[in-house]
Amino acid sequence: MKTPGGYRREVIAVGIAVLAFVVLLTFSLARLVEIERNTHASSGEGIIWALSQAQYEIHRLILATTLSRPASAEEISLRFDVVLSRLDLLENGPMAAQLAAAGRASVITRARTALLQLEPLIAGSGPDVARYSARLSRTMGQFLEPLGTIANDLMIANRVAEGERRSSYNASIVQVIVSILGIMVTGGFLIFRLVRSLGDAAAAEAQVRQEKSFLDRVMNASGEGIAAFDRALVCTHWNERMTELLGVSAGERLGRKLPALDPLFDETTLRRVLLGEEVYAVPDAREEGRYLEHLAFPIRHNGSITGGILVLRDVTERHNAQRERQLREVYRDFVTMVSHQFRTPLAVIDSTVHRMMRRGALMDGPEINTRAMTIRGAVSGLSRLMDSTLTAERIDAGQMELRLRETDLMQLLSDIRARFVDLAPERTITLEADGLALLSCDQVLLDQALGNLLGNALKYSPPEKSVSIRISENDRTVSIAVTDYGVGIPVSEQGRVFERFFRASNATTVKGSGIGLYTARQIARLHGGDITVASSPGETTFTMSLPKQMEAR
Amino acid sequence: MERRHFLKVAAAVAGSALSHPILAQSDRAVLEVSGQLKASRTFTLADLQALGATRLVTSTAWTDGTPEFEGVLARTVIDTLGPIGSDRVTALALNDYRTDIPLSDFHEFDVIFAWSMNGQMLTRRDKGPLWIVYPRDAVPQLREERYENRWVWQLNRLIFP
Repeated sequence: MKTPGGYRREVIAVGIAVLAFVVLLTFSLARLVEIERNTHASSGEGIIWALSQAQYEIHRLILATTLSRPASAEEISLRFDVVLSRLDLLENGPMAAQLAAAGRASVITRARTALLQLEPLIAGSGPDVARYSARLSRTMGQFLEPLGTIANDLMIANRVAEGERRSSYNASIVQVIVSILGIMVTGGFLIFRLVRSLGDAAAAEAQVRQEKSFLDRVMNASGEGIAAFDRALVCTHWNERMTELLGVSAGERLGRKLPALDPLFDETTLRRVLLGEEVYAVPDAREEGRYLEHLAFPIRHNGSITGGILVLRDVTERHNAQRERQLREVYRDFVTMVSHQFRTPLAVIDSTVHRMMRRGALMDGPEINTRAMTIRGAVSGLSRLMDSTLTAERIDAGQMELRLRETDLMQLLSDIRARFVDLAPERTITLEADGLALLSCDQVLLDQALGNLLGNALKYSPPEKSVSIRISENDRTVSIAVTDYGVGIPVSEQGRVFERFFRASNATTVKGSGIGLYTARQIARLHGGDITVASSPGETTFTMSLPKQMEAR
Repeated sequence: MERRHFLKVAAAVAGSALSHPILAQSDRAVLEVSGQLKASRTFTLADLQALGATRLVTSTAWTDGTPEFEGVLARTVIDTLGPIGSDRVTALALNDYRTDIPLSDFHEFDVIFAWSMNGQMLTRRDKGPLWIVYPRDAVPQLREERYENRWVWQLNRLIFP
């Protein structure tokens, strides 16, 4: 909005205005203080009044002793003392100093001396005014004019000083008025700036509020649960979808520490996010049967991490669709395999019966017995296939489900091993386990999957080599490792051995359908587990890992 | 007329004021009080001194330095007069000066009727017999013309108008 240069110019302008405001205010205050001090300087009026009073009292004394109408002795005495008091006033304090400054102090001293010289004469004369009247009038009368002159001169000097003082006042007041105008202008400018920046701030706040409400609406419109937390792991945002997914309202979450509230947000994960890591957690089944996938990533602001965002997605549908697809594939493969495997015993039966028909009576008892045993073997193979086929009915469209049952894995593997030993008594198959290895699974499917693994191990290793089965477990999973000591699988092909119909390049001489490992892995995955392979020339291990507790579906 | 009567009395008592101005004062009326009172009365210096002496050190607009005054508190004198039908008093001086003083001054400030300055009895040849002295240094607001007008010297009469 504003260029940096414009902003700097505004700051400078405001700075100058503030400075001018302060300078003008200080200056006008200083001037006002000066005027206030000068107001207290005493004027010269007092001394002019005192001089004229002295002049007047001398006059009254002379008048009181006028021959034609003399006053009483007491009145004369009073007038005498009052004249002295008037002279005394002019001889002391500030007035004496003012007269001395004007060079007129001596007149007063001379007047007092002259009057006091007359005192014995007046006191001695009693009521006989004629004895001193003329002398008093002459002696004191001579001071009347100088007193008037002094008062006159002082009055003019005083007026000049007054005038000067007034004009200096005027100058000061004009300066103060100009300063105040300046203060008004700078003050007005500052107020204008203040009002404008308040307006700007309000507008900016409104914009922020609008953006926030927009963001809230976006967050709430999202089909994903979104929550945010700050560095203290305190929840700062919680959208409506989050409330729907977890059944906890924003009011119960906002402002509280997340890890303490929901095991879904464990502290370790959130701390990792605050360290800058993006965390993805695979779909996790909730109690109510929904699969929630979550993602957490840090929020960065100005290069530092200020918190994190949690995104929760309901992937139940996707999860179910995937699962359904897996089941369907297993079924299809199963059927493929079964039909494939039906042919072999049928062909055996067919050829044996064919030979028996051709040879007819030529066959002796032991030969017939051998042929019949061959047919019976083929039939029993067929019936096993039939059993498998029947179990496969369960994996029919619409009824695809695992029949979970608490299973002793050791027992299951012992049965499978016994079956293979029956078929190939010359092979050594070792079975070892640490622990009890109880788990819930679909026994028929798992039997098939493990049978495939063991069958492969036997098939792709020389008869003199043993095959080992090892069961190990930890808190959550059970692992079954099937190891053979055969040719191994080329490294470049190890990633593809679980693909349907894939057959390793060094195994083409051995009969196989290419669906066994695929089916085994699908079954493991249906159980929430998986199969991995590790192979080198001379040793190959397929490890099936299964969760101990598979949630009921 | 009253004044002339007073002067006659004063003259009869004092004899020649010129030869013994100070001696004459102790047994002579120095202050006459009249106006809205139950009764007018006069005070001799001894009467005033009997009301109790107060010392006050203060600068004045008419002297150098800070002289020490001795006198009686104005309100003590006023209190001896009984009920007063006025809120101010007109102070008159021997030199015919006169001014009104609000009685509140005497209650707000320790104003004295001084009879001596720096140990010297005041006479009517300077500021005597009495000088109204305000505590000018103790109370800054008193340092201005309106109050300085009330520093009546050669005080001899109080009239409650």
